[in-house]
Amino acid sequence: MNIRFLSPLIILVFVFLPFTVSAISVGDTVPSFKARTIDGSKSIAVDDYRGKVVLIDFWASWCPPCLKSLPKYNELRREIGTSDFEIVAVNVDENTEDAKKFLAKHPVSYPIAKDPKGVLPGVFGVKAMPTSYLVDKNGVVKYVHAAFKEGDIEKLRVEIEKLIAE
Amino acid sequence: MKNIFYIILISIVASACTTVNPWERGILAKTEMAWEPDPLMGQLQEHVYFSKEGSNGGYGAGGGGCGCN
Repeated sequence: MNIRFLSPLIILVFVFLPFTVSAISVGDTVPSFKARTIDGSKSIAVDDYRGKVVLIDFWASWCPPCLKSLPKYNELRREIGTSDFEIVAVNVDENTEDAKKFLAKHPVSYPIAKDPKGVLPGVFGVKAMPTSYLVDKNGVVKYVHAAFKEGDIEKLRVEIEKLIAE
Repeated sequence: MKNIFYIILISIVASACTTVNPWERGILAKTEMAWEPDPLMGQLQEHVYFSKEGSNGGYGAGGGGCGCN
């Protein structure tokens, strides 16, 4: 085929290439990240939790399923304990004040990082809100859960307990 | 051929379409952005409409046009 006919196609490929996002999936090593807590008082680094099973949860105050998932995750963390398990939540509200208001009504005990520019969900390739990534003690993603329904917490509990026992 | 190439390139670059990522939907999730911000008020208006018009249909609501249901 003539190169003159091929060149627009090549240009098209390069134009659309940046739009293809590679999502983090099961078997991938969790990207190392550090973010400020929602009150800005300290930094949270996911590497600090290496050796524990970690649930990284992306949420926002405007997401209706998050209203259900946050209290359930808090309860799950209290039941399982934090010796082998931790939840690291990443809030993606553009206005962090909205998240603070939400947390005043629905407080949780686990650390919450803020990412108003949405850098981390881009790195993880989040496809829905909320999305949580269950990471084993070696930092490998073992389970990805998008959205949240009532029965989902039990499925998650089974996966967490399996990873803690490993 | 060159002109066609530039037309394609400009039409792609000048496109106003963009992808709204799942974590960027805070504004879209606001009540005022919904097609039907108040479902109860919507149902009431629909009921009044089909009662006054003496007809029904188009909204997925059941019943006749008497306004009695």
